[in-house]
Amino acid sequence: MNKMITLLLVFLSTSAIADTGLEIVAAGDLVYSQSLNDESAATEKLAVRGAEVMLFAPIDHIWDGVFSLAAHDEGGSTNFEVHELYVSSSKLIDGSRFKIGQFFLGIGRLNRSHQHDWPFTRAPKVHRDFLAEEAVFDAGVEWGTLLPTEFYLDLTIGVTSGHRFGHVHSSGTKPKTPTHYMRLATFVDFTRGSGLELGTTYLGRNNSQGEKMQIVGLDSTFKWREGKLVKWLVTSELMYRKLDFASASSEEELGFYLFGERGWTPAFRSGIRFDTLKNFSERNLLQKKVNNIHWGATLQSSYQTSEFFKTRLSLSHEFRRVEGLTQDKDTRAQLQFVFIIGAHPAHDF
Amino acid sequence: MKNAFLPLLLVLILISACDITGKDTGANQAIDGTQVTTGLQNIDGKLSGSGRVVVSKSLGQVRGASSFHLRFKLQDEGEVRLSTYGRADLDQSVGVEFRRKAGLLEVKIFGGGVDTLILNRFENFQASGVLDFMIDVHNNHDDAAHLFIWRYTSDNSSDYGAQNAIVNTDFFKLPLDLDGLDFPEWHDLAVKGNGPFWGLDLIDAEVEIYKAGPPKDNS
Repeated sequence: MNKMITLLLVFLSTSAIADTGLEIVAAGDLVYSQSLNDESAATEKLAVRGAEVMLFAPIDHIWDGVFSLAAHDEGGSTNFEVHELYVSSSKLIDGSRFKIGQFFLGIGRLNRSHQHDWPFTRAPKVHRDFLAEEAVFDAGVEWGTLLPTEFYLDLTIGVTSGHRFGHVHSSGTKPKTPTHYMRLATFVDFTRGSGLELGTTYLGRNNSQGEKMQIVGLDSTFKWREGKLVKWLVTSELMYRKLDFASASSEEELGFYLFGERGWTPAFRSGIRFDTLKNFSERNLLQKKVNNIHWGATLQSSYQTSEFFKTRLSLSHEFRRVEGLTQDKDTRAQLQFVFIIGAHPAHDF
Repeated sequence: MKNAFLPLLLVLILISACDITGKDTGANQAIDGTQVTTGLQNIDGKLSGSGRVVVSKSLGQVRGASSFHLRFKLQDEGEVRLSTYGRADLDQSVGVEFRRKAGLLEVKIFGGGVDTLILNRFENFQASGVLDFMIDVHNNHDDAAHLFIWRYTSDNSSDYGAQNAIVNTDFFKLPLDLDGLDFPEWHDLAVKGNGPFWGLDLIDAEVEIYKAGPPKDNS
């Protein structure tokens, strides 16, 4: 009898879950980083860079819900945090889509996807410096629509609290102007599954100390498919950031990355990425402009037994050139393991 | 397909408008790397006496992160104050102050008009001997600058981590604190430096090594 009850309960639970449309997916991201020079800040250990559980389901006939909880290794201890918790709808107003809650800001290319979905292991320099190691997420409202044009043109506008931005260890403080952003994107179809997406982003914020930030970006992603194989992937982002400090000084920087990857077989891919970042405001004590530039190059190979398990080996070298001298060299090798359990939602292009 | 080249063309235009090699323009040739005030002796890069030195090569980004290797000796009531990410006069900086007082080593973290005295962490250090520290200042956090202080072991980043720091201002990472201090006011005030320069103020001290580099920890 007990066995029957247990089986019945299991069946009912499963049916209940199936009836609600609840999907659960877990993702694991393990990275071993090995420094190859003295200055490298590579951790030299296998770390759980990210462990994420996502739940998503329709709430009712209008709203859908998403909840994602992530754990990250920070300084040897594991920190849990809510990455995303929001309701969304494309049925509330015809032609509009809404997000209300906490979510990854809909800006640029990389910031709109989870770290374990990236086509490379480590974030580009410009993304790390202007945004975060993974992504900027915040609580607020985002609205999007396909504009009534003859060609594909999609507009996303968002306003979020702005109490926190990027790398933060506290609950943050109320800003003078909350985080606000806009992205305009177009898409060019080539063949079935192949195409080019181009986007432009603006983001602004004025934090509690009166520090004003403005970011303008361009992003592009090109994919060429042959059957099920993505034969070519080329993605890039160009970002300009201006910071106006409360002390009346300012800092302007421009950063860029270009990543290209060739799919040789459904299991094996190899790629290369170039990073660069320039600080236009660097001065010495005599207020003379200091010529500087940051460069980085990464070579990588990925092997996947399925879309649910991927191994990636990458070798990167970054350095800074300041007035003819090379400094801050960081050479490292990284071995990454990414796996997904459950039904992962479909990726954007 | 023409649209595929537009972003690349824009990048090429932007690149051609500025130098991408980081070559020498002579900006750093006119100065010897430091500006030293009177009263402070600077012999073969070693400082002694009382006065101020401001390093003329900046730290680069204001919202950046750096490490600082400091090796020094303090006379009785002597002091070494490391100011980082400040303006050219070291105003609006964040940093660490070491002072020898009544035979003991007193350490403070400061910034934005806030001083936080750290007791009990440095009792095992001989205040009269050679003191050798590695200090990280991460001025790129959205809230407060994140500071670490380690006993210097080597220049290798792998020797330094959040768990083996003598001081780590990250509120969530503090071990059970013997002082009862846990720096919540530091984060709430969002104290950060507002410039790209760094330097030292000395009172009756000798500084053997003062060197900046990339951060040792990435927390």
